[in-house]
Amino acid sequence: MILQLFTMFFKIGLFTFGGGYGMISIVKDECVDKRNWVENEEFVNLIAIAESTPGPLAVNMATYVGYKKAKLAGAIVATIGVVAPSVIIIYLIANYLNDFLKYEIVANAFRGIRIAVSVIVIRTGYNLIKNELKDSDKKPVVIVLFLIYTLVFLSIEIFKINISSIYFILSALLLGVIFSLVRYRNDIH
Amino acid sequence: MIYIKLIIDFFIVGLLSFGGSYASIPLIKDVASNYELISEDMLMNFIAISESTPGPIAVNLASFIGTNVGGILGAILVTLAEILPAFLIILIFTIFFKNKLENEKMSYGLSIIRPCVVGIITSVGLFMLFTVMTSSENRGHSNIVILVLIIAAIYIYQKMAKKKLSAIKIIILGAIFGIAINYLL
Repeated sequence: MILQLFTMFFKIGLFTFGGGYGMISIVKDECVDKRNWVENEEFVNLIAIAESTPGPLAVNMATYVGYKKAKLAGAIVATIGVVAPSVIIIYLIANYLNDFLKYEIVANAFRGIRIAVSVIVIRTGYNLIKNELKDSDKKPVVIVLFLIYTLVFLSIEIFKINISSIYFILSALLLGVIFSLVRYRNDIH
Repeated sequence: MIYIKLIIDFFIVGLLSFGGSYASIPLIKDVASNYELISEDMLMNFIAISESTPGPIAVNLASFIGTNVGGILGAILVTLAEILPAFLIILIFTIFFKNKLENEKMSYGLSIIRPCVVGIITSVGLFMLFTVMTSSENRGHSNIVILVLIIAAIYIYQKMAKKKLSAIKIIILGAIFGIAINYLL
């Protein structure tokens, strides 16, 4: 079982391109449909927790499935399995990147890739906020928070103001707690 | 000694990276700027590669910085430090909460946190674009041409195929346009 967990999650790590959402369907194929290790509803709940806790989705899912099948040893093995391909591939690339970039054709390709990646990230932000606004009962709050965080964070980066990004994440968490408390109190009265 | 500092730094990054890998990019950038081995330009290349190789972007970036600072041992230690918070949190959830995972109060708080995190993600993208557009390699505004071509390709594909152009295809297009523009302009 331990070995099976490792090879399966190693495979998932190896074939997951472009982050979390693509890998959701691969994990579902392997763990829900093919092997019946996790039930459908359990899997939906798992996505919800994975999205609301820190860390990559792939790691969260590996830890959960690994623990379910083989307790702590399973969780450790599955988690290491899912990140092992990343470590190996990136280690190899990192050692040769500087040599590669000396070729003009590679440097030019990278210039295009960097523009492409920034477009992808902006598109992700746009899609996420569109999703957030759908069926929201507090659209103005969502839009104002989104705009404030986008503009303030962007100006800090552009003008190279020395404030750690950590404070931005912490302030967002704090806002979440404050809003919850206020609403909870209103419900009581 | 540098290992211990790097491990602590990346443990904190892992602990605070709510909202997926893109949200952790600014945190990782902060850490990288403390190590003089990695220039901002190099980090941009790392992000581009992390996006186009398998595995979560945050994990790939951790491996990159780990390798640069301390070879294979650095890569392994930094990556483990980065994923340790996620590992522990899910472990605790699984052991103690069983299936009582839905909590109304928590989900309300999260609906406030999410727009803020999405704002940070969007500004990361905008700043990356700003950096490429204002960089010295931008000969004859060729970067603007590349940008327009990429956006046009995304738009046309979506109109014709009725589905989104995948990230990996956009990256391949970016590489092709980047090479081609050099011969055309």
